[in-house]
Amino acid sequence: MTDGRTSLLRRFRDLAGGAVILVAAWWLLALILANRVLPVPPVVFGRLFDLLPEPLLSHAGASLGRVLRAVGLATGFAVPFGILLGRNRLADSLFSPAAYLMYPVPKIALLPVVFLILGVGEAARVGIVALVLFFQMLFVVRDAVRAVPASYVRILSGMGGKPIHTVRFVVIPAVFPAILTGLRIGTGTALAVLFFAETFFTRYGLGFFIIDSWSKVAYTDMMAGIVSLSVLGILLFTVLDLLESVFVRR
Amino acid sequence: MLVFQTCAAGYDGVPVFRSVSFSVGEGHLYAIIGRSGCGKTTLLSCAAGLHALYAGTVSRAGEVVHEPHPRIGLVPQDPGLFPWYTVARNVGLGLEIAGLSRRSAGYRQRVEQALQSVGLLHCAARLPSKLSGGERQRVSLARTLARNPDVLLLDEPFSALDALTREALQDDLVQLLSVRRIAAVLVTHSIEEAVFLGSRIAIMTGRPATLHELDSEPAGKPGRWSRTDRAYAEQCRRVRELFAEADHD
Ligand SMILES: Nc1ncnc2c1ncn2[C@@H]1O[C@H](COP(=O)(O)OP(=O)(O)OP(=O)(O)O)[C@@H](O)[C@H]1O
Ligand SMILES: [Mg+2]
Repeated sequence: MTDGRTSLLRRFRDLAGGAVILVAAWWLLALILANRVLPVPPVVFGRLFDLLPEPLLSHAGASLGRVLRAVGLATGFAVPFGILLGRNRLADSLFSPAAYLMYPVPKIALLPVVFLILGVGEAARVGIVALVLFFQMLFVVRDAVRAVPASYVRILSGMGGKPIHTVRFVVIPAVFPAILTGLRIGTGTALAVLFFAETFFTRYGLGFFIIDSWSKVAYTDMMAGIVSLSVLGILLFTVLDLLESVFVRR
Repeated sequence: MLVFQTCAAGYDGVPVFRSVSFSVGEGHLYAIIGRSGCGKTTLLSCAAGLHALYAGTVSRAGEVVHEPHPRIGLVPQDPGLFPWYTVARNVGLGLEIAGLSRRSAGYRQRVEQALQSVGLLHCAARLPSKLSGGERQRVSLARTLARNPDVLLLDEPFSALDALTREALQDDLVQLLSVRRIAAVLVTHSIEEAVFLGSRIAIMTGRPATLHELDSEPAGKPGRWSRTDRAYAEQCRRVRELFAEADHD
């Protein structure tokens, strides 16, 4: 436990250190450019506090809600499907090649299709992000299941274990870290896709706020939005990190 | 009491061993020596109810073994501890499967006792990755002991241990067999180990393999030898000669 706590402290220290360097670099760049498109940090942070809690919190809340629903949706599909591919050779040879081809396809390009199929509402915005996360997670989960040595299953059988025990004592513990890894790898892309998806047919979300401020030539607001989106990303990343350090023991 | 009667088994229809017959009573240990790949692990898998026989029967206490039995414990060749659970949880896994709650006093007591008997109680809260190879093998043994078996199938359980630890564990095993009245089958590469622990010794050789029992004298209890004895050294030498003979053809 002491191990976990010191590494947590170290993580926060690193995070704070990184933030300081980033803000310093931004400041420097703003001074060099001396352009009102890129205001210096104090101005942006001042404006950020003006925009809080409203309207920024509503926008951030909308974005966060979409991400969380997408995470739930993607996990709900990727985990059972990944387990199936990992444990059933027929299913794997049937579906994996197609899924593999889909892997490098930029899912964001499918946004118009998704809008056409799911309509221009929330379902489409959540759906496209879930699609990105699904493919990130699918293969990580499949490989994690595949990497479980057959001897583990034998050992359980030898102790009178049934398939349900294999799921409980082997598959779930093996897959859980893979879910977190898949989500972490996917966070950046998912937020990028969300940002883009939020610029259509909605008046809520940080993506909308940033583009809207941009079109209104409100560059300080725009930067405040960008900072908020970044903070959201860092937050998600940190939560995944924390979950991993608390629940995944190696 | 474990009895093999004219057993044959293999993979994909090809027998790995055939006409294997022997029996081992409580407090006794049947030692099997054989070259790598001759079918020792397969034989133990059959006794554990994990592998189907082509012919013959394995029975425990008069009942034919078809599937894993709660009183038949296998210590696999590869310790196979689950890296995501602590040592204690690994040891208690069989009890959990049997339906014992991890919070029950019985569970805790049996896990502690099993860890104690391999001298690793102080490692209970550790993860397997933080153990040495030999310690892992001992935890694997404890995991099987926790289920309180009366038949113990040992697949080279001491192979990763240094000589001193191995001897200490062999002594512990001798104690366990007699105190808990366990019937054991031990697979090993070591002639010394087979002689020291075996009530009887058999060589597994040929393709498909058969068993050749080395001693026709009445079976002695494990622990009848002292390692420093002349007689023990002499017996090891004899067995080595017989092994060379039997393994030749
Ligand atoms: N799952 C399997 N499918 C097909 N053949 C197998 C399988 N498992 C083992 N074999 C073969 O059966 C034979 C006996 O294997 P087994 O594992 O019983 O040998 P062993 O005597 O335990 O060897 P070692 O001392 O190296 O552990 C070997 O030739 C091996 O290649
Ligand atoms: Mg073997």
